[in-house]
Amino acid sequence: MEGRIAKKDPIRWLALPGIVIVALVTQIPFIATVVLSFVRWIIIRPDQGIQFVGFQNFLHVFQTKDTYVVIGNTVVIMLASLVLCTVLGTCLAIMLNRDFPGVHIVRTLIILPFFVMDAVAGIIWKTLILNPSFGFNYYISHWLGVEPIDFFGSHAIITIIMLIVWQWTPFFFLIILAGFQGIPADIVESAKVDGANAWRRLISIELPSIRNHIQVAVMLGLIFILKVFGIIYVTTTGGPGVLSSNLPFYAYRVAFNGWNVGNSAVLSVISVAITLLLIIWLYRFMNRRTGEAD
Amino acid sequence: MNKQWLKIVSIVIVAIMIVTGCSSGNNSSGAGNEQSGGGNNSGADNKKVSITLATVNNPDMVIMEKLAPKFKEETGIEVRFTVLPENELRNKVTADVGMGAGSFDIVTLGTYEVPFWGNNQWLEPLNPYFDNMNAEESEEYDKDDLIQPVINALSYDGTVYGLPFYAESTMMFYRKDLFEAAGLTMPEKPTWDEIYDLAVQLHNPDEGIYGICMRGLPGWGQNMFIFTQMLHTFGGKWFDMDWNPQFDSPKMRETFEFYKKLLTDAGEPSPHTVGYTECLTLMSSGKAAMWMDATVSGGTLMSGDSQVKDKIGYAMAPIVEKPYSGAVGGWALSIVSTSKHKEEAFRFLTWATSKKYVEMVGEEFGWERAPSGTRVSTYENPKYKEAAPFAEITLESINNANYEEPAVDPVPYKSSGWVSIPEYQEIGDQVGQLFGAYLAGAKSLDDMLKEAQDFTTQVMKRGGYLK
Repeated sequence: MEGRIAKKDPIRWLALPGIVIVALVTQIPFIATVVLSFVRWIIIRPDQGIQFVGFQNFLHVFQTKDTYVVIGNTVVIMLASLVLCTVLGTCLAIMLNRDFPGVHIVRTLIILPFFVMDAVAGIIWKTLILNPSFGFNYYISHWLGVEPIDFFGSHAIITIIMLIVWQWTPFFFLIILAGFQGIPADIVESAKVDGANAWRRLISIELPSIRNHIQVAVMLGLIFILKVFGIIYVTTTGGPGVLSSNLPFYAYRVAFNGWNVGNSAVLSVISVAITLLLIIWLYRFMNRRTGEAD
Repeated sequence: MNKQWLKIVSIVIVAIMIVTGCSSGNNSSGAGNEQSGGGNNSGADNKKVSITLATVNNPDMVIMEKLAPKFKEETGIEVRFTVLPENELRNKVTADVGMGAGSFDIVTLGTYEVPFWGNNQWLEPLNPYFDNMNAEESEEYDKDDLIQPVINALSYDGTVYGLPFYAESTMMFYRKDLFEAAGLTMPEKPTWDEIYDLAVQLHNPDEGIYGICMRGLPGWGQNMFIFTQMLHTFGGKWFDMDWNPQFDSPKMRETFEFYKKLLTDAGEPSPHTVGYTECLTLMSSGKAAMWMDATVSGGTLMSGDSQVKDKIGYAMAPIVEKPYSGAVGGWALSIVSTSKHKEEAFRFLTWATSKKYVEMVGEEFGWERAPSGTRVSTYENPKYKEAAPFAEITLESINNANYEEPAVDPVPYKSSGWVSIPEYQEIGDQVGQLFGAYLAGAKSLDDMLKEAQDFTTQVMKRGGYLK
C-alpha cells in the first residue's frame, strides 16, 4: 500500500535531476570502462584501430601471472592496513580520550600525516628518511655500524603498508575518537558505580557503543586504501617487479606505459568488482556480529 | 495539475542542465573556432595568435620560457607554456595527441617518440615548411648547421618531424680527486672491464663513497636506457632480423649479469630505486666516484649546488666490442598535426632552434647553459668550448652514436638507448621492472629472462611483427 502511494507521489519527480547527475558522474564512466574492456585499443598503434574482441582481454589478463600477484598484493595491502589502522586508531583514541594539559596539541600532531599529500609523503619517506644513501636510514645505520636496510627491496610491500598505516591511522583515530566522545557520560558513570574497572568498561560498554563508528571507519578506509596510488607511484613504482603493485597502480602502468586501453579497463573492472565484493562481505560480517552481539 | 507541474519542472531542470552543458561545450569550441579564425587571419595580423607548447620542466626549457616574450616582440605571436615533469609530460601529451584532443600546437618530444609519432601522422612533416622558406630565412636558419645524426634520429623515411632543442649522448663522469688519491687513471675510452676494476677499487661504502652509480630504477627511459647501450656494446641485441626477441641469447645473459655484478660489487645500495635524478644527487653530493649517464649532466655538475664542481673528469662512455657506445638523446620541438596555427608554430620552432637563440642563451645565462648537441657552430664557438669542458666528448659521442646500425650484428631496428618501435615503451617498461626485481634479488636471472622472452614475444605477436 505504502509502496503504491510512494510510486504515485509526484515528489518523486524531484529526484530526477539528482538521479541524472549521479548517473552522469558515476555510472557512465563505469559503463564506458566496461565497454572498453571488450575492445582492443593500443593508443600508440592507431594503424591497428579499435576492434571488439569479446572476452579476449579478460582471458589475456587472467592468463598473466602478474595479475594474480597484483590481486594478492591489493588484498594483503588492504587487509593488513585496515587491521593495523583500526587497532592503532582505537588505541590512540583510547589514550587521547581524556583531558590532560596539551591534549589538543597531541591530537593535532597525530592527525597531521593525514593532511600531507600522498606524493609529498612518499617523496619525503623515500628520499629523506628511508633512502640508504642519504636518508636517516643511512646515518642511523652508519652510527650503529650496520648495513642500511633496503626498505624498497624484496619486502617493499611491507614498507608500502607501513606508509599507508602512517598516513591513514589519523583518519581512523578521528572517527573512533568522535565515537568515544559521543558515549553518554551517565552510562560510564553508572558502570563505575557498579564497580566495573577500566578494562571491563572498555570491553563491555565503550567498544560496543562505538561499533558503528568503527564500522564507518573500516568501510571508508577500505574504499580509500584500495585506491592508494600516489605512495606506490613515487616510492617503489610498484616494484621490484610487481611485488608492491596494487590494482590501481598496475592498471595505470598498463594504460600509460603499455598504452593498452582494453587490458587496463579489465584491471579497473576487476578492481571495482573486488571492492564491491569486499564491502558486501564486510557489511554482512559486521551485521552478523552486530546481530550476535544483540 | 500539481503532479503535471512538478513533472514539467523536473524535466525542465534536466533539460537546462543538458543545454547548459552543451552550450558550455559550444562556447569552448566556439572559442576554439574564434581562435582558429584568428589563426586564419594570422597572415594579415599575427598579434591575435597564441600557440600552446607542452614541455618538460628541465632548466633549458625554463630558459626558453623566460626568452619567449622576445619571440612575441619580434613576431606578435604569444606562446603559452604547459610545463610538466618528464613522465607526466610523456603521458599527457601521448594521451592528448593519441586520442586527438588537440590541446597543444607544439610539443617537446624525445628522439624515441618523434619518428614513430611522425609515422602515426600525429606530427606535422617539416620538409614542406623548409621548402617554403625564402633565401634569406634559409640562410639565417642554416639547416645544414644542425648536427646530422640528431636530425636523422628525428626523421622517419627521410621526412623531418622535429627540430632539436638540445641533444645529448652518454659519457662517463668521474671524480678526479678520488682517482688521484687512489693513484688511478681513467682511460679516455674505457672498457666496461676497466670500469669494473676501477669501481671496485674506489668503492668504500663505510666512508659513504660508492664506486659507481648506474640507473636501476625500472622504466624504458631509466634502467633500460643505459642497459640497451651496454647490451649493444657487449655485442648483444634486442631482436634478430626476423624480430625474434633475444633474451635467450648468451650476450643478453652476459650483459644482465655484468650490470648486476657491477652494482652489487661497487654500486649504490638499493639500485632498483635509483634513477637519473638520484644518481645526479649522489654524484653532485660527492657520494659516487663514477657515473655513466647523459652528457647534459656535465653542465649540471658544474653549476648550482654541486659539491664537486671542480673535481669532475670526463671520459667516453665505456665499450666492449663496439668502438663507440653513445646514444643520441635529448629533446626536440615538433608541431602536432591537429594544430590550427602550424605556420606560427613553425616560426617558433625555427626561432628556438636558431643560432641566434643559442647566442642569446649564452650571453644572457652563461655559455655552459647554451643548448648543447644541436648545431656544429656551437662547438666552433670558443666561448662555449671554454665554458663547457665536456663539449668535445659530447660532440664525438653524438657523431659516432650510429643510430642506424646500433648493434654489432645487423638488427631490424634503429636504436639510441631504446628500440625504435612503438611497442618498445611497453616492452622496455616490463623488462625494466623484471630487471629491477633481478637487481633487488627478488627474481633469479633465469626467471627474469624467461618472463622477458615470453612477454616480449606476446607483444611482438600482437603488434604484427611475429606470426
